[in-house]
Amino acid sequence: MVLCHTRTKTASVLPIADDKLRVLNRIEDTFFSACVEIEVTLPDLEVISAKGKFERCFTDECKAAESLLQKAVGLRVGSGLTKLVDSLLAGAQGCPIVATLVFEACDAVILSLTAEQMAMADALDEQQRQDGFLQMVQMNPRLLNSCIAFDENGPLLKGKL
Amino acid sequence: MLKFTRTKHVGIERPAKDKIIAHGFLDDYIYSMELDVEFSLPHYEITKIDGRMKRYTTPECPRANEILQNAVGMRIEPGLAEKVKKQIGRAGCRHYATLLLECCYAVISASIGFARADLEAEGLPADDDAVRRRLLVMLPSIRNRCMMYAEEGPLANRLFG
Repeated sequence: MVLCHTRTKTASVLPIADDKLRVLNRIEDTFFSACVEIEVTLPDLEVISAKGKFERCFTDECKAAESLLQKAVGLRVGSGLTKLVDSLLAGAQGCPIVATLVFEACDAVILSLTAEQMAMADALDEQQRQDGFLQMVQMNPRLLNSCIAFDENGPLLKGKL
Repeated sequence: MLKFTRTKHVGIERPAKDKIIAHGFLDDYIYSMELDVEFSLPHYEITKIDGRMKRYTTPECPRANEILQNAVGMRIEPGLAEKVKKQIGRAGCRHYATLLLECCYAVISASIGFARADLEAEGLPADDDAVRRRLLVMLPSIRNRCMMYAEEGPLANRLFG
């Protein structure tokens, strides 16, 4: 069957200095084309710049949402980010596409740091990897019960914390 | 050199007037997974879901495949994101939750095309404002979801006077 709609999103994280990352998040959808670019400092993970463009949208007035991006400056990538992004950028005075692009850009920063850790774990044997996951949860308690793998009663963590 | 990339792609088919199928694919430096999600119209209800993990971090992650069944019966309506994050993300895998929400958001966007196609099939005018009016009938939950569809916004005034 022929597709009637497609949507592709790509978020890329590029280090631009020892203490700074640039994230580009782009959406290409049958009805929307837009991109958001943020810069985030390391190690405090503060958004120091945010800009973007709606290149194509079903309703021309949607382009006004570009100006919302300034509200993302000063955000810190960390706990509570979802609610903050929603309150600043989504809702009846905002744009869910812009809010989601910003949130995903911030999430990509966290994932890029996780990818570094996971790359180091590739060299470990299974037991060492399991010990590593336990250590991750101990260092970041927010991971506990955040998914099926980090279920406190699951095979990976039960009786070990 | 890029430090991290995440791509999400959703393709949508409409095999019948009352049925939509979304195929979602997420791929990044850490995770790779796919979802097939069927929705029934007019309620935009998830009737079938299936997922496959190709690349993941722990041996426990694929157990999240079964948890996807929690999505059956969920509808595209206010509160969906919270439900998906809790019942698919925290109970299973947060990356499956991210991909499922992307499939739902793509279905919302695709509905612009469905609205136009339905108006044309019914022999009714299918100009952009007629499409927007039909879209609000098909998906009343988008009202107040953004500045364009805000009840007091300029678009609502133009569409409904």
